[in-house]
Amino acid sequence: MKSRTRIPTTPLLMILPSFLLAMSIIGYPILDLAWTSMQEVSRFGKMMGFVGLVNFAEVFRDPLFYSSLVRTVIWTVAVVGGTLIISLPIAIMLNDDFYGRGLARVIVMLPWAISLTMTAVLWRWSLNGRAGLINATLMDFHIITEPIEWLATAPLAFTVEILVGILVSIPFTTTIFLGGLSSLPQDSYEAAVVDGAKPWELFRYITLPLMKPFINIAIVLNVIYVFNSLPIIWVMTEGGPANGTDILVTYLYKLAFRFGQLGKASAISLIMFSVLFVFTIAYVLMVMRQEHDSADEEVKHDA
Amino acid sequence: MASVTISGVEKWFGTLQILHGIDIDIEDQEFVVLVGPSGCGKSTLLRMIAGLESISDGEISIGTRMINDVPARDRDIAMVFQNYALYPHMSVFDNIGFSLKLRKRSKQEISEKINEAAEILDLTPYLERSPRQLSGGQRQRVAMGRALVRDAQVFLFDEPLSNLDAKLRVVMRTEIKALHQRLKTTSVYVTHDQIEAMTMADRIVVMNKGRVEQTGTPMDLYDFPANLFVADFIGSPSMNFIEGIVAADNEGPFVMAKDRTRLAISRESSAALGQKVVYGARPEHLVLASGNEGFDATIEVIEPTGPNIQIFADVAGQRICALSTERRTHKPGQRIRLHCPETSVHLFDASSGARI
Amino acid sequence: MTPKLKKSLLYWLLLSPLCVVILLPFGIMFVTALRPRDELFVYPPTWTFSEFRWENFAEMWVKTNFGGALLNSLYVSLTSTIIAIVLSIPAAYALSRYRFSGKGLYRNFLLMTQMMSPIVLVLGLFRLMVHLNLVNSLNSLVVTYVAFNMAFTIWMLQSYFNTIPRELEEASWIDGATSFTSLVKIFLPLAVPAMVVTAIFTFINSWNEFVLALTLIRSQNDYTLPVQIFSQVAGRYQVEWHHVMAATVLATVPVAIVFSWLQRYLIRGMALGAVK
Repeated sequence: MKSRTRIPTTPLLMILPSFLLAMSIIGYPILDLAWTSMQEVSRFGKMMGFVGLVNFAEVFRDPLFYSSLVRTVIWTVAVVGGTLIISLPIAIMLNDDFYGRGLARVIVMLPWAISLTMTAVLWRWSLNGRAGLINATLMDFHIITEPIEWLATAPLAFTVEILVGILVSIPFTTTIFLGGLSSLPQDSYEAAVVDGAKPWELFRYITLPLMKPFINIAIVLNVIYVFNSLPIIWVMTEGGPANGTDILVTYLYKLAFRFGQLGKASAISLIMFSVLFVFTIAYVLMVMRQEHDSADEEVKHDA
Repeated sequence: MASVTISGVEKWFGTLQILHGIDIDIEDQEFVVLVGPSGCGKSTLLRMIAGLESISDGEISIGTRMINDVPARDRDIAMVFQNYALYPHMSVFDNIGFSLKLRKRSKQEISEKINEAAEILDLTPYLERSPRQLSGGQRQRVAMGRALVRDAQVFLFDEPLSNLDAKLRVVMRTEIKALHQRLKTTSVYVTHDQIEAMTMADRIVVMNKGRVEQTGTPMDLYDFPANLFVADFIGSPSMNFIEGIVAADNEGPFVMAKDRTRLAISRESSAALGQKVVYGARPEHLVLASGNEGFDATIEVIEPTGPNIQIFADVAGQRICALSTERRTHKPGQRIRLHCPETSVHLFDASSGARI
Repeated sequence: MTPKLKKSLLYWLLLSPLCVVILLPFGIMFVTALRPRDELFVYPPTWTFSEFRWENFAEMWVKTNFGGALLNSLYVSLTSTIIAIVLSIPAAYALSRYRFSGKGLYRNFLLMTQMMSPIVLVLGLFRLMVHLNLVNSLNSLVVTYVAFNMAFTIWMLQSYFNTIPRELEEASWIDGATSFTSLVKIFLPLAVPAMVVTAIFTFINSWNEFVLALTLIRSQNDYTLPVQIFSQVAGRYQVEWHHVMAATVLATVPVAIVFSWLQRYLIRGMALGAVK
């Protein structure tokens, strides 16, 4: 076999600038973190020499690391799970035609437009124990008789933060689902209706299986985003009270920029990076499989 | 206007070979149709003439100029695309005039040319519209107009009618042919529709799997298909094929089908006794016979098409099709005798597929 | 009652709890931003207040250095959006129009960069900026925002570019256009809407970013809006909530309006094979 395709340089030149920038801004810090994590580092960022895995050992001896890790898992599972359960029915409704759908879409998407920081600031004020208007509203409706200090105790604060986390993840997830729903073949539904399927059966046997790839992608992307999300917890409680709402990212941020434990912080960064990496590979494989399937379909259409 | 010479052209995508050494000579003013099933490489070849695909090996010349390394814009060709490729952000007028504008012709010349083309194509009332506001047939005309104003050496057509409905397709096909008779511009036309090929072409090139199967005038290909592929591809309904072995008895040579059905062939045939062959007969050559002539058939399905009746019948375990103009009432299950005059029989070698 | 009306009522009933939870803090934001300072902490807390204090906005503007932060945010968001788009157009065009080896690899590389969050890399980024002597410079944010947004912009542009038929460019080449003319006269005019939409989303992303701005910018004068507003809340005994809320109104409402107007394009982008 001979191949006569010239190596095209034009497209490579076209992707080069974006590639170089991404490499230096995203690639370099990873290497730097790996290097730093095996150094003894002074408070002021001075390298004091190679110490191997000492920083990692220290991380694994740290009880706060474990409690943050456990809370990260709870945070991620609860927010992603809650988001998915709420988003799918919402997407199905928003995909259907009803009066005021445009307005409903705008409202549901609204949290996406606002930065997480602002949202968290808004909620921090709304939930204020003394003057927060959430308490005022609940008291007006006689749901509670006394104002509640929402953010003063760790378990309650963490629960509230999870709920806010769900709220801000809904728009993105709903958007993925809406994209998926609009790509579902209409004739499958018509065929199923002719076959005598009821609405619930349509959902169970047509929508859900066809939406599976989109649900998978929504899970992976949300896991990555939520796992990494700092602003909500940082703004609302800064991981407190008494480290009671710390997850890995807030703990990492404190170590690095409050306590100046750069070696240990780098080690945690790397640990988190590897977790993320696994999820990213899962995502890439998933996307590739989907592309592969749709490529197959294209071939079939061509034939 | 000019001739187009394609010699030894190959196309590779990586290690995949799409075209295996194509040789076609297209004469000045000729209308040549490249026809073949999808994936046969006909569109790739056309795009190579256009300069939209690189030429991996071999040469393409327009007139006496070798154009392998000439970019599309300098090849002096015009092309009509399958999806018309009208510029959506330009009016019909600007679409047709874009090439002239790029060539920096004077405003007056441009609008004269556009008006002339619009006149020919009945587009005059639509010149200010945007392509979006046109029907499929009108878009097709705009695409033609864009080619027309160019005075190009060669017109290339890439399945230009495949997005039109059946009726419009027939109308446009006649229009394109009439246009060619008027302008006489050398044209290369790609289609997968053999009827389009038959009706429009001066000469047809049948392609399959990246190779040229046969080149010739429409009637040449119809009457003397070089091999089984061409015989099967050209003609609708297609030619009937029955496999068998060449034998002879005192009445002359014949092909013996599997169930010993006797299919008479011409005495002049060069087929050797005992040779495994495929017996081919076009549906319109199969006539209802009486007496000893021909062979037995059992009617399975009857399909009237208006001008004639298609009779699908079982012969030697194979379904064949015969055309009858008689309005006799045949019934499924009925046994009839069909006969094909020996001079109309096509014989092909069973292993190579080549005409005998 | 028509079936559609019945369905609409049912849907709105089901959606109402979520809508209330989404809209409630915005309501609280407005009523707080507009009430007099001494009515912030009343017991029991109440929605009502005595007068609309529009002066809150003017006071806040001066006291919180809102104008400065606004300019910083505008500078960072505009610059990073323009650079991201300029770098992304050729890359997206290459991915959409050329067949080349390494294309799949580059796509996956972009996906990976999209997955990498600033927070995990923030320490390394900080040290990188120290090396480059860019800490405390708004340009450190510009570079990082461009890098972190590029996967999104390339992907978004590419999925729109794919909807522009390649044949249009081919037709123009045959009509006698050079690659450059074809790009300028045919391709770019058709791609403008996609570029505008992508640019606006990139702008909003940069506008809203928090972690990097919090880390890489150390001096108060260079704070962007989210950090500026956060600094009014964090680590203070006396939080001037009416000022914070007034600042939040100004920082969020314009963006929210633009976003609401554009969100359908994002959904269309997803439908175009965005998730692929």
